[in-house]
Amino acid sequence: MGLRSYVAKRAVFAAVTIFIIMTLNFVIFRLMPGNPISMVADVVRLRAEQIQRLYELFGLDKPLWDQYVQYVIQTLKGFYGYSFYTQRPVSDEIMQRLPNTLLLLGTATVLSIVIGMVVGIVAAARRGSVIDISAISFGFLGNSVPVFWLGLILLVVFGVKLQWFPLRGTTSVPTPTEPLAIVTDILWHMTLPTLALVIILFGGYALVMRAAMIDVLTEDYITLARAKGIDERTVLYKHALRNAMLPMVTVIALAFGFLLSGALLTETVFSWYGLGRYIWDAILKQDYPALQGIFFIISVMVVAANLIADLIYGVLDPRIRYD
Amino acid sequence: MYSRSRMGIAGLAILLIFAGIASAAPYLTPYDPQLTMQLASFRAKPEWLDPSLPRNMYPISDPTFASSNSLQEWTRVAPNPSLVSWSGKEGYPGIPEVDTGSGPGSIEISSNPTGGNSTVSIEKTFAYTYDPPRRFSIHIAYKVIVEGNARWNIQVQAKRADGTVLTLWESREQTGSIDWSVPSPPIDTNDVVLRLRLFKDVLADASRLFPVQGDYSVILRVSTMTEGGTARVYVDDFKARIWGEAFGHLGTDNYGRDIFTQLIYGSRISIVIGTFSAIIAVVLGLIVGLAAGYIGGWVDEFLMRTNDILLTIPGLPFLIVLTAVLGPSIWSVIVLIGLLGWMGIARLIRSQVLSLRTKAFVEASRASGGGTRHIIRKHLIPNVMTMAYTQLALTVPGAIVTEAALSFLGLGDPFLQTWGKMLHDVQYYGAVAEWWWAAPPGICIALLSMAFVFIGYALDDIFNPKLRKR
Amino acid sequence: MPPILEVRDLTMYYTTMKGYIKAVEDVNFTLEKGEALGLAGESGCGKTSVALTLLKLLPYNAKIQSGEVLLDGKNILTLSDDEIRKTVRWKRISMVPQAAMNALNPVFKISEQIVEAITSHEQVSEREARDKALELLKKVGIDPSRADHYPHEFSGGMKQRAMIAMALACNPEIIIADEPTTALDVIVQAQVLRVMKKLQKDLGLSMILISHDLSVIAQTCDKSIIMYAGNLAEDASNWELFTHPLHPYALGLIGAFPSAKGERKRLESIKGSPPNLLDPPPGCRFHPRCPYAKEVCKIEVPSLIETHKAHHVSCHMVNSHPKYV
Repeated sequence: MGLRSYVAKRAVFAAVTIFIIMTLNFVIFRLMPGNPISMVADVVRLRAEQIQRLYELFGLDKPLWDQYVQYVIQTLKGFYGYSFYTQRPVSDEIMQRLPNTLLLLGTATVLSIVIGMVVGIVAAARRGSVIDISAISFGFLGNSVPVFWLGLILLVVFGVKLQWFPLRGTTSVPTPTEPLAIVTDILWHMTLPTLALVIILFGGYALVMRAAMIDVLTEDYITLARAKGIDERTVLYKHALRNAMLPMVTVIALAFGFLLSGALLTETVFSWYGLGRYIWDAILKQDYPALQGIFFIISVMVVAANLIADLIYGVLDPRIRYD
Repeated sequence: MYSRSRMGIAGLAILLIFAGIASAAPYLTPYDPQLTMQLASFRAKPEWLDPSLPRNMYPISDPTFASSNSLQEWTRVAPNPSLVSWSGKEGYPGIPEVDTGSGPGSIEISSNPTGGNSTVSIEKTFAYTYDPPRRFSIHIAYKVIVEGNARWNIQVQAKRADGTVLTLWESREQTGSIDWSVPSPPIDTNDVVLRLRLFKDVLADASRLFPVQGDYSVILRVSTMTEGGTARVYVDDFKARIWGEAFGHLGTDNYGRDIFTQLIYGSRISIVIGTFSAIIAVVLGLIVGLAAGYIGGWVDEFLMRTNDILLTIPGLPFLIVLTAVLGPSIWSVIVLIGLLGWMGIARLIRSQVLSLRTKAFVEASRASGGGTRHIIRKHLIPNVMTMAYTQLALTVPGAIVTEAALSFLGLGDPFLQTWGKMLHDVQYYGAVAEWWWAAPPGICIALLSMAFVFIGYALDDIFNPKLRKR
Repeated sequence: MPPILEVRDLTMYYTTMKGYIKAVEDVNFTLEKGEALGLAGESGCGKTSVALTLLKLLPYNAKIQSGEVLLDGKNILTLSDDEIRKTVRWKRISMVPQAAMNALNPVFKISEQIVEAITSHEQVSEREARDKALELLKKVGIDPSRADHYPHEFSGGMKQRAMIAMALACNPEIIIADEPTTALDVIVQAQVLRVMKKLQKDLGLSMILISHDLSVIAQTCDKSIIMYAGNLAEDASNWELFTHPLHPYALGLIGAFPSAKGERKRLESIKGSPPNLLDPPPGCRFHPRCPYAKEVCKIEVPSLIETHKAHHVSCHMVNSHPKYV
């Protein structure tokens, strides 16, 4: 019973958040001086009746509330307007690029969490060792070093000077045809951006894991586990980790937004054909519908990730499950 | 750990160094990072990278001909030496809003008083000791006073080390007077038409003019033909420039601005942005945290719900959208970063307030008749302030990096060369290989941020000495 | 029959940033098979450190300077970590730690934790281990149907008894109970003590019961040792100790201990507080609080002498008494 009501609460919270984001999106773009039509009209020199038609088409002649309702309905249905630049629906543009971002993001997330956790556990078990010091150092660096700069440097060193990795793109041009070659090609292109992301991010996870483990390792049940004659490895990875995971899951959720922003910036540096690069292009071309659509999709992703993390936490912590 | 206080001192030291650099910026570099352009070739390399790269060279020492001695650097070739003289009366006045003139003082070249053809040239020779340059430009202003029947032609030439002479520009044979004028198009190897005419190759550059090390000359050649008239040609503002491919400590960017200057001045902006944004965030966090923790009830509920929702909204994309819409300016960046950074702090302050509320001394204070404001002032605020200071130090790095990210994407103030904007330029102009341009801004961002992180951790240790369990 | 456990001249300290904490100094005692030994003293006197030493469970900044712990004649302090883990811990000596509520891992079921104790040391199937676990829970008075619950679903007393069940999982020879009743209210206390006493008798266990509460020790133990500031003050059978305490500290403790029957006496507590073990007083560590302190007490550490059979005291006053010289 505890789990069900917990899930319900978190789901409602997620839905409310998404709703607020939609509203913010709507409000912000209405705050802009001028409106989409006037901007186009400036460039193209439309006649008055054409302008009027466009107003009607975009629904800009209706009262604000009606516009809002229409916007909400459209967004929920998956329609985010037409790109100023390409005239195609923004949702199409996003769907073309989303898989690439998910690929990069997913890989980087998994790798940095896993590496971060292992480093954190070992750092907590061996205080003062090299691993401990590097965990702390990388934790600091992750907060201070801009990930896009690291990407640039990796690109210079490994792409330009050493020429081990490609300089841009998700795949080579021309794209290879057979499946294995395609996969290898993509992995080859993905190496440097993923490396940049993981280097910056794993430190944060390591620090949290380390702190959580240190706290847990001082608990009485750990001393007891050792007293029971259980070997140190099992004590760390079974008894301690299960408890330290709980704060860790919360952090993973909070850090997801950070990770996502990092992925977006890194994509720009490597011209990775994903949402990040799309943001860079949209800003250059002042393509506001695209920015709106991207912001919405990204927010949905973050809210979803947080919800998943909440659910995992609920499953992991028996105190929630059985209360 | 002793290392915590050592960290704090290291952080403080780094911060002071940056603050020193920021304050001393005008003394460290004479240029304005935003406005001083074309200091050398675009994307010039740092001087220490390669000593054989051409440096900025100005073969003509006194292009303004300010005194009669100015003619001494020139070699004259004329049927009659008196035909070339220095004039103190005429001088190039400049073109309003484009060009400032150099005041009185110019070269006067006259036609043969006895009539007929006359060709006068003055030549300035100089040694060129670098690798071939990529750009060479000359500026010249001329005025011709014709009386009677006279024709004239002015040529600007370059003589290469092997003796060949190339005509870079000529006025073509003309009659009549002309007031101060400047060749248009300018005499510049960047000019495609000039390259085509001289070298028949669009892709040629000044290396064709100065292919080897040796002695080169700039020549001014004036031909006149008079039949019962005189022509007097005045020349002023005769500047020649070999554009350097190496400049300064860190080279130049895409507009020829000094990168080192941008780096130095960037420290000012980063410190300002970092601290101001962090202050906004901390003040907001304090207000919200205090209100939520102390007042409690539905105020608490409402504030914390808002807090959590704002926390879930992804920060950077939100900032991107906001700045794209509101227009890039430094103040909007500062305020927005602050507005999106208070949530974590508010939560911390709130827990602190909650735990302090139930502490005995607050109860005692209440019991002895202290009013709410008194309690807040004397007990809560001092305790909470120490946490606020620590959070302030720890929030600054995030603000600096966030501003860098926004500028990198092109959403920063277009009139400010921040470190992030420098990185934007690197990305935008594809200058990734120029590591002296790409690396330093990031290193500075990292160092300055780490300084604040160290200070924050040291403060944390000072104010909360944790009881070490083992 | 040789005693099952013998501790000789045990000295141990902790290293901290401020210096060395001399937590245990020259402690000697023996434990016979089937005997219940009480280890009494104020907080911080070194009782828990002694207990942890027996299982070599000390934290990394602890160092055993000298001494021997003879389990059935063999010094276990010389064993490697691996050997101790496999042969001594839980199999021969097990522990019911202080605040047992915190000693149960909150994310694992009670049954799982007991089964783990069994399968770590014995070659039995999961099924058999689980049967054993349920049996143990029954023995301590917990309904086996609750075995698959999580610790937070148990009451304080139940958790304590679950801990006892777990401690018995591998049929150890010695059980160390560290403050088993401290966090419990009086009624539950009595219940837990009853269970412990019964088990000890039924299974022929040897037990070391650590407590600062003398009434608990009086109820359950056969003999007791009293520690003060890391030193052993007095060691005697309970009857001897409570009727004829000799060490001034013991005198103070037992004088401070109200009796349910008997005349109403004024409770006397011992003036002062225990010393800082970073810099303990020279000579006898109790001398600043001792009403009988003499010059020699400030200089020389008293040695442990046997005054009667199996009754040891370390005190200059007692040492020099004509009866015991």
